[in-house]
Amino acid sequence: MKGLLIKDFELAFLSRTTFPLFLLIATVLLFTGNAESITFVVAYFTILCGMMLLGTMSYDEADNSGAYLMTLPITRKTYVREKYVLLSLGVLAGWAISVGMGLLFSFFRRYTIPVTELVGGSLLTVCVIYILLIVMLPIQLKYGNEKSRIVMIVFAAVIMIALFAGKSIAEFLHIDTKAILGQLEAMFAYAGVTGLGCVAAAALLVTTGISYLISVGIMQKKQY
Amino acid sequence: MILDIQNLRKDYGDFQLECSMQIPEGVVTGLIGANGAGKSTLFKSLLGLISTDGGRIEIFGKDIAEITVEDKEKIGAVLAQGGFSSYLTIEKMIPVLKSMYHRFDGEAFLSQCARFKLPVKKKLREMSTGMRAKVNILTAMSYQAKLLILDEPTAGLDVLARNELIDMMRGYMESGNRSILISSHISSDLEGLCDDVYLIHQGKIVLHEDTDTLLDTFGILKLTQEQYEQIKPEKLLYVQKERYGYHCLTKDRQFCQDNYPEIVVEKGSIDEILLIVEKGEKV
Repeated sequence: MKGLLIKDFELAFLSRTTFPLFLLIATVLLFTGNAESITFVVAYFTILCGMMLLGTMSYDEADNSGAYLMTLPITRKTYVREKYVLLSLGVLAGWAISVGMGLLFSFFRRYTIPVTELVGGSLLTVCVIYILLIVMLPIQLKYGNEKSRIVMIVFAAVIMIALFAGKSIAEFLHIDTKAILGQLEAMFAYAGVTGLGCVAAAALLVTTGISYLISVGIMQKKQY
Repeated sequence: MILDIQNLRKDYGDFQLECSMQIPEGVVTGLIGANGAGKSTLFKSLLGLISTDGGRIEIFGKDIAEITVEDKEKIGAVLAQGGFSSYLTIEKMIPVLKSMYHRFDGEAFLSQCARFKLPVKKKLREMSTGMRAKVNILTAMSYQAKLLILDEPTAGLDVLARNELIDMMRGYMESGNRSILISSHISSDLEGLCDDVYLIHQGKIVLHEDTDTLLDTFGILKLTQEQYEQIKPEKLLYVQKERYGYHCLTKDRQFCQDNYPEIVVEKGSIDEILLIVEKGEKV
């Protein structure tokens, strides 16, 4: 796996010219925004870092180099595992850099956001981003870089339609959705930060597990 | 046996691969066939890149499904299409190879690259076809693999570059205990390199012979209708109908020369033999 990680970091490094641009945009957003902008910058920067590393998969597709990789002393499972490790490292690095920037800004601007709130709040955002990216990973493995974009759009459209349909059905059946949301909010408040953290960690583990198993299945069947 | 293929089958609907093949230790085996004959399909099957529909492939005495990462370290592969990401440079490939292959010798690899004047800081995609082919072969040879599986490694190269690569392979075999399976549609490349050759046509092995036997005892007979009717059919392997007679492949050139002095008997290159096998009919 080490060799694959080295290869992917080298390939990700090819986009090094865009990385300072990400940093610049994040800095401008922090300068021009207020205390709430920090959460947005963390989300923005983390998702960009994750996408940058996930983008190395398109290099594997190019020039049939994916087929060649499978002739090297690795298994198809190792290839999948490496992509998850790479993605996790990207998300973690993006989160750490952007939270660091947020804390610095918070200090210089004399914002009164507690460090624990900034870190804890951003962790939840990062969880959502990570889940989004690991949903994308098997789709990219299955359909490749170009087609996976179309699949993701269709996927987002299906979710929107499902939400709309769910809302319409709830209205038709006279279900008070606001009350349910209120109950959920109360549940979250009751659970507290620790409880929410546990729920997020469980969601993360389950989604990663399912995504990984799907990815392994896709790779085992892949024909080059 | 380094590689043993028994009744391998791969069905693509309009194309079926069905073949058996054996490669012993210390031997260079050539697989020769026209474009679309099934060479790449066979190679992809050996490397586990595609699933198969039947038969058995054993490498180093193990079923291909049981091949471990350690076994894969003993296999060097060159694909007809594809290699290391073309966005990398030779310099960037080295740490990757070093962490994947225990026997990878970075210094020897770099000195070989220097010998062949390969720019180590240039991206592979910016190199010429010949340079990339050399990088692919040098990479496959850089970790003392016991078996090299080379699919069309000389494709698209000029005669000078092809000769250089063939020489590299000869040098690789000097260490002994190694085997090479190499495919090409330019059979003249393989005549001086391979110990034995398999001819593949429409997914089937149509001929397997030692290269020396093929070149020394096989022959091409150019016959008129009358001569064709006189010749013993058991001496003919393939017959190709021509406008003014027949071209026939015989396994007994000397016999034909001695017994039918009036007919034209030619030695024939592997290319010419392949042509008759492809276009002619089996007797």
